[in-house]
Amino acid sequence: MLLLPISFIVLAFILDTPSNILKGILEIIVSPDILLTDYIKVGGIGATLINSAILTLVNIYIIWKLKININGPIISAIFTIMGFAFFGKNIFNVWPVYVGGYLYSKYQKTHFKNVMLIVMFTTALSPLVNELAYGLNLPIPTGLVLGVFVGILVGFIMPPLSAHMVRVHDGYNLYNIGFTAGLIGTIIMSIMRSYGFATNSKMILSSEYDMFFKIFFAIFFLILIVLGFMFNNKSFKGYKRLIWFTGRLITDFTQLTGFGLTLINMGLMGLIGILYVIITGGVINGPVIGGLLTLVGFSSFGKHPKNSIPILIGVLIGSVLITKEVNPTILVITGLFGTTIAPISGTYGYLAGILAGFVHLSVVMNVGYLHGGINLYNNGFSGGIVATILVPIIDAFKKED
Amino acid sequence: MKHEIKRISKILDELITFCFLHGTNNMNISLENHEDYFKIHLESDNIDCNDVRVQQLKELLNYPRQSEVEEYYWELAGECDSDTELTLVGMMVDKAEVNFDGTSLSITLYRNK
Repeated sequence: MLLLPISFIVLAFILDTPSNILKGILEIIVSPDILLTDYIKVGGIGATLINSAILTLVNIYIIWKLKININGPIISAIFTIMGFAFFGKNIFNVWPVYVGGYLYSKYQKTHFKNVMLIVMFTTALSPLVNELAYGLNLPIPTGLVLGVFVGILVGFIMPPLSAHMVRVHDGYNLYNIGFTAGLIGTIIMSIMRSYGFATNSKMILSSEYDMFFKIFFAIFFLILIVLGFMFNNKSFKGYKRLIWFTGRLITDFTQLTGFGLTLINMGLMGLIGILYVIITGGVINGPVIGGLLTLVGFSSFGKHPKNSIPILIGVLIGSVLITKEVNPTILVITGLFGTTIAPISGTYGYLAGILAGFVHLSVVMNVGYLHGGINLYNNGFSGGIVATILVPIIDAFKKED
Repeated sequence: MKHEIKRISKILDELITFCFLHGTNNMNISLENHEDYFKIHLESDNIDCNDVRVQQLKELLNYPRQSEVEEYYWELAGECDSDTELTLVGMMVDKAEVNFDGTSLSITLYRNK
């Protein structure tokens, strides 16, 4: 868990100067972060790597302090934060959400540990803090207070809401908080638009570190496979059993198959992710790194090649047939994040998975408007809608046993 | 914990679904509400012991209690009629005793308050 953030820190100081890093971090902090804002473009490579490393290490420290076991959901949450720290989560905008979660735990007289997992994922709505603070042309002190207040409010309401929303799609959408945050974001954005405040979607993307990150992450994913191989008594034994699971929530590979096989699966899925980027002709930038790391994180908690590849194929088929022009980065991240609905192919077979991926591409390109880009887990929102509608339909065609 | 009664009901729902999915014809369930803990006891006949999930029952129900996972996912328990969430049930209880006698199954779960 520490390997990647520590290597980010080392890389940051190799690739960039300390003064540039400091300047870049300040630029990241004051930038509105709605989708898609690539921090590599906004603040530079060094600042982005440091931003990701700090967020990851602080979260690992909180987890350690709260004595939370490292399991599939926690690994997923850490990798998700690490990835999204390349395009939307930063060392300023996530903390109001934590304060909100903490206040909720105090209000309900429960331990903060109990809501920590939800709070980590709730940082999906962090851009809301920056958008209100810096994006609406409000006086900065007013915007800051409003942004922090709304961030705290979101952190407070998310624990009960996210637990409830998981029933809507029955666990077939792995990014459940993306679905919940999408609905909350839709309400907030509707209110904002009603009073004349609007956000404009962005497409701030970098491309200069494509080959560097392809090599860097390929090496990291290979290391995961080698480590997993060592932990699993120098074998891949049991992997066939891992891909037998449907992946529907909750499928924690760390507990069901052990850490060794989980690491092997994470590394393998990462390599498949890079291969997908190459096949689609995309470049690795901030959002794509977010997609890769989230894919790898959730490969400890439901995703594996058998249930994820059909989704990737479905998205690719959709991109060929669609008449609307699809930005290459959008296509890449839709595939990588679209594996949120991998449990559909895991449960109902690869044809259902291809269909789900195909539908997901069209839905994901339209739901962003609803929340105005303030929900970073746009694919989780779309995946929730697709799973909620598609699963009962597929089930209707399934014969009774 | 908030919704404690509903959480207990969902654990029961999950156990009932599991037994139905694995061939039971007869189930007896008892629930005790003690000062410090809940005790759920279930006896079921005619369980298909060849099924991989039945063989894993003891392991699945004995996962360490994980309140942070429970807080997020507890509402999933008992929601699906074709799949089971025994891992989740394992994370929602502190101790599980599972015994087989031929095709008869006995499960006792303890959940601390």
